This record gives sequence, C-alpha cells and structure tokens, in this order.
Amino acid sequence: MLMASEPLVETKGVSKRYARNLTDNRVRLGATLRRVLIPWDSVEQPAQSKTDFWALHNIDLSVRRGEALGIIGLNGSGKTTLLRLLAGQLLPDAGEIQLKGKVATLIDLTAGFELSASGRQNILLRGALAGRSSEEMNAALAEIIDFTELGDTIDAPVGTYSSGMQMRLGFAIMMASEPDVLLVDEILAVGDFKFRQKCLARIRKVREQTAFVFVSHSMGDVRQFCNEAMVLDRGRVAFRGAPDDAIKYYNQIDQPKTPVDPSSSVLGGSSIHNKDAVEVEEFGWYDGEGRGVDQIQSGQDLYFRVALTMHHEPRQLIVGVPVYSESGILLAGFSTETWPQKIEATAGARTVVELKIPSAGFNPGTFHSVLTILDGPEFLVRIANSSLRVLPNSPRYWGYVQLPHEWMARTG
Amino acid sequence: MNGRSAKRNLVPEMAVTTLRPTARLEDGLLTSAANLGREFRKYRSHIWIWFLSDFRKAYAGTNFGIFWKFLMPLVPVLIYTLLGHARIVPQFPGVSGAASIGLGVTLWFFLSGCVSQPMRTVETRNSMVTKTALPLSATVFSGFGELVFDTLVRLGLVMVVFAITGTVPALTTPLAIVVLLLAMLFFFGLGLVLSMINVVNPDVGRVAGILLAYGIFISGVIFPIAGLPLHSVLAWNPFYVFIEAIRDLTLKGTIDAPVPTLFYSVAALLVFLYGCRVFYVMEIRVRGIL
Repeated sequence: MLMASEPLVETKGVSKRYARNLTDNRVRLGATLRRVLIPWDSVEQPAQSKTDFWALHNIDLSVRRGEALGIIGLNGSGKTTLLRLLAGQLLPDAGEIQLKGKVATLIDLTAGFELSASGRQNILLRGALAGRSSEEMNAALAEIIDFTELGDTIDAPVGTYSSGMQMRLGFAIMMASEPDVLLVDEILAVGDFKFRQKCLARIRKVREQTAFVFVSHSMGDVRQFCNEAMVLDRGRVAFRGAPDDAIKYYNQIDQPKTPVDPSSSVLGGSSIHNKDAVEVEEFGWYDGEGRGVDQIQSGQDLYFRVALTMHHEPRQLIVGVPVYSESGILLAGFSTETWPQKIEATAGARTVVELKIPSAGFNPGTFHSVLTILDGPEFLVRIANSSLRVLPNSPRYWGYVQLPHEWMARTG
Repeated sequence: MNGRSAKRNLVPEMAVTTLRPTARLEDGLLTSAANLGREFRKYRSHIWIWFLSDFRKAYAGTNFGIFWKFLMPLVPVLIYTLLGHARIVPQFPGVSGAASIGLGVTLWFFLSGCVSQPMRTVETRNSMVTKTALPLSATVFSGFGELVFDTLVRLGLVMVVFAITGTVPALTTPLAIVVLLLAMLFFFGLGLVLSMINVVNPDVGRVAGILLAYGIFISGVIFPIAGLPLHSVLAWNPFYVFIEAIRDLTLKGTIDAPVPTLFYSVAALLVFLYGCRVFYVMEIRVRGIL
C-alpha cells in the first residue's frame, strides 16, 4: 500500500556524465559492453577524459502527489537531461531514481509518431509507449479526439497534419490516461491561443492529482503552476525554494554583471541588449517636471523616456513598455507600433522617445515594466525598468487600475 | 475532496520503476530473453505498424507498386538459379543445380540478414527511440518481419524451381525446418551482439557488411566447398554447416556432416541467449550514442 504522502518521484544522488567528444562517449560505453560481453573479466571504467562533464551532479529531489516542482536554469544547465532521466529515456551514471505509478511525459510531443499511421492508430501506439493498454486507450479515444478538435482528420495519416495539429494530438494522448506522475518540458505553447488556454486548464486540473515536474523558461508559468522551484546551474542544484525566490536567484545567475532589480522577474527569461545595434543612454519614468521618479501619486501624469543611438539604419524601430503587476500579470502595454507616426532614427544620431500617460490610472501598489526596443520583428533591447511605486490619492480603490469613468443614475 | 482524491489516499499495487546505473546488469541469459519477449508482446502494435510502414516505403511512388516488393528479393536468387540451371557454376553431385543453388542462396540471404538486420536497424533507428521510451528491440523485431517476408517470397520461387526441375523434397524436410530455426537463432543472436559492438566501434559494421556481401562465395552455397582452398577450415563456417545441412535434409534425405551440425545446433541456443542478454542489457545504454 502506498500512502498518499509518499513521494511518487524521488531521486537520490543522481548524476549523468557525458563527453563532448563522441569517441570518449564510445570508449566509456565500450568498457560497459566489455563487462557485458565478458562477465568474468574485471573491467575498470576508463579514467575521466578531458571532454567529460557532469550534465547532472548529485541531484536529490522528491515530489508527492499534488506537489508541483518547477525546474529552471540556463540553456545547458541539465534541465531536459533530468527530465529524460525521470522519464526513463536515459540511465543515470550514479544515484537512483524511483517513480511510482503511471508516468506521462510531455517532453517532445511529436516524437514517436508514426507518420504513415492515422491519428487514431497513433493514439494507440503512443498510449502503448506510455505503458497504457489498448483497452485503456480505446476507452479514452472519444475524449482524446474531442479534446484535439481534429474531427474527421483523426483518420488521416499523421504525416499530413500540421505541426500544431501533431502537438495537439500528442498533448491529448499523454494527458488522457490519468497519470500519477506528469513530466512537462516547455511545451505549453501548443497550437493557437484558444487551444493553449485549453491545455493550460487541463494541466492545471491534472496537476492537482499528480506529482508534477515542470521544466520551463517561462517564469510566469513556473510561478503559476509550481509550489516549489529548483534552479539548475551547470548540472547542480543551485537553489531550491519558493518559485518567486527561485526566479530571483535565476535572474541573478542569468545576469551576473547587471545589478538586479526586483522588477526584472517580469522579464520571464534573459534580458537582451544588442549593443552592436543600439546604445541605450538613459531610460526610465519621469514626472511632469522631467525628474526621474520611482514613485508617483495615483492619477498623476506619468512619462517614460528613452534616449538611444542606433548603430544602423533601422527599418521599423519600435519602442514598447509593457507594465506588470507585482505578481507578474501584464496590465497594460504601450507601443509605438500603434502610433501612426514613424520614429525617425538614423545611425549614429541620438534619438529620444517619450511616452506620456495622462492621469495614470494605476491604483496604489508596486508596478514593474520592461523597456523593449525592436527593429521589425527583431528584439534589440529587452531590459527591466526600475519598479514604480504608486501612492494612494483616495481612501478606497479596487484592482490594479482605475479606468476613466463616470456614474449616472436616474429614477423612473 | 472529490471522489478521485479520496480514492488515491491509499493506492494499492502502484507500479514502481527504479532506475539505477546497474539496471539490467544482473539479469541472466533466460531473464534477458524473457524480457525481450515481453518487450515484443508489449510493443507488438508498433512492430506491426513499422513493418507495414517500411513495407510500403519500399515501393512508395513507383508505377508498379507492390510488384517491386516481390520482384526485388527474387532477382538475386533468380540470377544464381539460372546460373546453376545453365551449369555455368559447378554442379552439386546427385541434385539439380538450379534447385540446390536456389535453395542455398535463399538460405544465405535469410541467415546473413539475421546478422546484418539488427546492426542496420540499431544504426538507423537509435536517434528516433532516444526521444521516446521505446525499446530498440521493437525496431529490430519489425525489421526482422521484413526479412521473413523476403524469405517467404524467395521460398516461393524455390518451390517453382523444384517443380520445374522435378525435384522432390526428401522425407527429412521437416527436420530441415528445425535446423533452419536453429540457424536463425544462431545468426540472430550473433546479429544482436554485433549490433551493440557496432555502436561502440562502427568499423565492425563495415567489416561485417563486406563479409556478408561476398562471403556467399566461400560458404559452399554456390561453389562446392571441396573445391575451395582451406576447405577443411571453411567446412566449420557456420553458414556452410547450417545451409549444407538444410540442403542435405531437403534434397538428399541425409546429413553429410552431422558432427558440425550438432555442434552448431547446440551452440545456436547458447548464442541466441547470449545475444539476447547482450542486447537487452545494452539497448538502454546505447540510446543517443549515434
């Protein structure tokens, strides 16, 4: 009997070693093969080669049902390797992994699809991959087809599906069979907006019934889904704690040379500053007198200014300032993209772009924002502004913002 | 608390998976073979779909369609059979040259395929299975299905040749089938071992490819072994021993070399079990080593 409080996912001292050189990988594998071919021959593991590195080192974790662990870290920090180990796709080189119950893996949604087979056949095939019997999958067939919204297309070969359709099918199959352990790797961008919302809702629902391990670069998603987060840095656990604290820690290791502002957590990933393309001399919030501010009165006029020098002739320069609540909810976005006028910026010349928000309707609280500068679709700058504190000017307020409004009342 | 949560406070008989660096290393010959059998059963739907998919890919886009699937395996057997019929290659005393060579070449392609097919499949499908929890064994089984199909087509031709040349199979033919099954186990086991060695040292696959492509000429299939140099050594070539025994039992009703046949028949079971163990232990370790 398994008690509900027992971990469904547990790792003890798990490590995974790789070599950057394929030959070194083969040499190490060769030692194991020799041990298998000649069991009575005592074979020493080859010494660590120069290209060897620990993709993961000494990872301990445990996740119980109803718990959600977010794993964040820079590219190459070992996040996906850890998930692949948990999914049984790789063997650890040290330590032990124990999984209890049915495991659903959303790592590569379209991997393992047989393109010549129909969507319906692939439901059974992928189900078998996940350890589900054909009876279980047949029972869930109608629900899966309904969820994917593929309709009659379900009987067409999967090779004829768009990548979005394949991902929808992959997602629906893996989520269909009530997993005990759910391993998700950065795949929440499934299909169009409406379908993504459907997937998020499904994950939220399933999450409460499972031990949920979630790898993501989206800090918003980690904050939303997880009650604990772990930061991996070069294969080691660098931090483990509450998601907000983990995100702060991650931002520190992500930008070690930049002073960290609390508002940088809204970036949801790395900051960007392509200094070969643009130099940003100054930016920030100002009041009507042109003084830099970090706090204003609710309803006061508010200005944002950025002074920049382009190093090339931009084709379509766009300046944007998304504004977030303290918990990371996007409240408003201001962008020159909707401004009928084009920003005339020439290479080498200083350009100042200013935004005025008359009677800024932010209710009291702390607000974060991000300066974004784009040339067409290319992000040149994406850096956090200093936080802005809004002070009350009336005793009662509700929500984050106050929209211009008036009340009317009549009788009869 | 909803019903499902309540039900899950105590969960009986929940499957527990433990992954350690030493996974499968302690499994013996029989356990490994049994586990490969379980993988076959568990992934039989995949194996069938892959077989069908590879089958169709072989003639996709052609005008003659499935006709190619029958013609392609027949071409080499047909050529060697015609050479035997026209007495261009040396004759085997007491039997029809065409029947003897046709049967021998068919057996050669089947048994050499048992060796080469696991190597080729592991090489080509390793990257695909790395992204899933699919075992490599499932891909090998599906490739084996195609080999069996080609062999059945070739055996159909051999029967036609028997009919044309008036060759009547001997009463010991059922014994030939037993020897064929043992030969299959021997070479499939060998193929499983080589497929894993080939991941560590890809030169092995190249050498095996050359030997299997041209080894037919020193295997006694086309040229009688007595006329070849080093024939006393070549007489212990397992390809020769098995193929000759099957031909003898089918065409003559006797076995000319019973000792080597008995030796390799016993060895076949051991080689097969050994191959299963090597493959089963290593298949989870070679994932991603391309």
